[in-house]
Amino acid sequence: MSESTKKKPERDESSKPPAPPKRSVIHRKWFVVTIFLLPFVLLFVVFRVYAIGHAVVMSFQDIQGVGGQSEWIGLGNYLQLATDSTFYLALRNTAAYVAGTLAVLIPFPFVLAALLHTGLVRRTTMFRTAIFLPVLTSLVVVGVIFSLLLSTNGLLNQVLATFGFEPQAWLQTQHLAVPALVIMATWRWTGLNVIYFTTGLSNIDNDLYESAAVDGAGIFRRFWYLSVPLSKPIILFVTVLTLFNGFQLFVEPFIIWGTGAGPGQGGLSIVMLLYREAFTSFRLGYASSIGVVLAAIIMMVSIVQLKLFGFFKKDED
Amino acid sequence: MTDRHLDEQHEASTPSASKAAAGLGGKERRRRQQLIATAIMSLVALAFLIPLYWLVISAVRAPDRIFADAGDLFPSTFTLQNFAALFEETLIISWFTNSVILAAGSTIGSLIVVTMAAYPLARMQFRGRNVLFIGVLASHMLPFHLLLIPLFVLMVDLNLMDTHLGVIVPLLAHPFGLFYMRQYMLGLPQDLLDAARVDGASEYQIFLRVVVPMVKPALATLAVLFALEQWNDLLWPLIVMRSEDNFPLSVGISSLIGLYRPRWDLVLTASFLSVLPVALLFMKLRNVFISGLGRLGTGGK
Repeated sequence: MSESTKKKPERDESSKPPAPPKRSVIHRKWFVVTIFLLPFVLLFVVFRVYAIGHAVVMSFQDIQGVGGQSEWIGLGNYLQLATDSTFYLALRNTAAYVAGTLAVLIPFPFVLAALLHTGLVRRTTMFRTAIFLPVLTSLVVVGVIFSLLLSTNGLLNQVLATFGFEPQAWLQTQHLAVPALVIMATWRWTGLNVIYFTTGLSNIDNDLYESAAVDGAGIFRRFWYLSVPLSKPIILFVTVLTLFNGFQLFVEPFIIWGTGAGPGQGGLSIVMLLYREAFTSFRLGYASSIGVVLAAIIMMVSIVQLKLFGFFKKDED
Repeated sequence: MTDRHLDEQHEASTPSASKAAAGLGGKERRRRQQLIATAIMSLVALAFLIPLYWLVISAVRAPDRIFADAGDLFPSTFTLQNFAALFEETLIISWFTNSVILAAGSTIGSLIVVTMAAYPLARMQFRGRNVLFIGVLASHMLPFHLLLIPLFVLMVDLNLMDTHLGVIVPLLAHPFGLFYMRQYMLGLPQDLLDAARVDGASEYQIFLRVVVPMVKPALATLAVLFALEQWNDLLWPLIVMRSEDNFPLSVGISSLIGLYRPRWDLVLTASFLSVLPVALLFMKLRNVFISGLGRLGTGGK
């Protein structure tokens, strides 16, 4: 597909017969189209199409540093990846993180959006703003804030203590690394998903709620039998987005633990491994193969998900 | 605006509904529901505000109390010496300037590139139009990290390492921006374009005088999105920028943490300064942020 993307606009301009001298050339359609598309297509071809191709090519090469020798090794990088226990650890951590964020970042924001949508809450704007503010902070700042909030004598442990729980060494325990990252994601992304769900809910015809209420459906029934099924498209959208973002986890563990990825590498994500291989070990070919596998995983999971939600069937109806 | 609208709809609809549903004591029950709902939302909102509040109070804590008082919500000390130290000991002014340059450069550049390309894709017929559009969208489904290494090699080859252009240029052709702008342009009334054409306007004049003024709301939404994305980005500038005075805020902050013993006083004040302009902008442009981002979720329509 990318091949034809690159060529099509150019073919347009060359295949047209020479201009009749009626209008000057700069007003001819092919010229106008070319002028408007040129900056985008040029940048797109160089920095996307070519780069994607180059990434795939490099994943079959053994590359000695930047600008060094590169040698074609076929599936060598992938075979090595298949037996690399660190890669499986990164894969496991990332998958756990994705599962965690999905488990939280779909139902929780949806319930909040639905609650704001019932009309029971006064000052919805104020509440929505409060929940949205974390979306404006960078992931770097999220990492900074939670480095301290999750420290041993940090705020979370203080809160837990008032409820009688033992303090946890959140950032110094291997199996608590992913839960800590999910807590951060919850804080950072809930507001954005609430906005998405709110937009979806506000597109539902209000008459439906009214007639359901007249028929005696309470708020919980209206939520379960109207809001949830009618929000299916937006739920699917947010699910794919959450998944897409989740697999690209990098900044928060990088800020908190650095490239060491914390105790027992509990915070090692796929992208962190890619970064480490590429920019601290300078194994560019090997890192490229990690990138290709990551892309393949994201594509596969997204397609499966769209299929499960019956996305492809819709066109046939 | 949307909130107000929604509220009014509910005011209008629900009283009659609850009367029908509950009969006796319906009003009482509704009041109780309102109370519970508001209480829940208040608790949730508080939980989301506390980390930000905590960032602010930690920035004004005495440096030696930052970790010691990490669980304390009420500062026992107040000092501005962390800010003074930040300005003295780091290149914070350069970092801030670099963030502004990168955000402004990539926002303006992307807007120009994307708006220009969206016009023929939305309003003109030409061969390869759909292939181009679908190709762009498909590339958007791939993670950026796949491009990280080839783009890095490319920047080295093009001699763009450690330059602002190196951070900005590779990301200018923003696939989602193109998609969003095209969707918006599809909604413009054909009559206006035709009228301009009848008046003898060239495509360039139509674009500049008719189309661009009409897509201003889309430009505003995308400007917010692009600027926020660039302002908050870490990974790509981390790879491109090598010398400390070229760092944007994000890379600067991460470099302070990367020290053998992180200087949390500097890290927290720098973090505070990086959130501040975005928060101020948000207060001014609340609607562009919230309704704009909401529309992004439903495919830009």
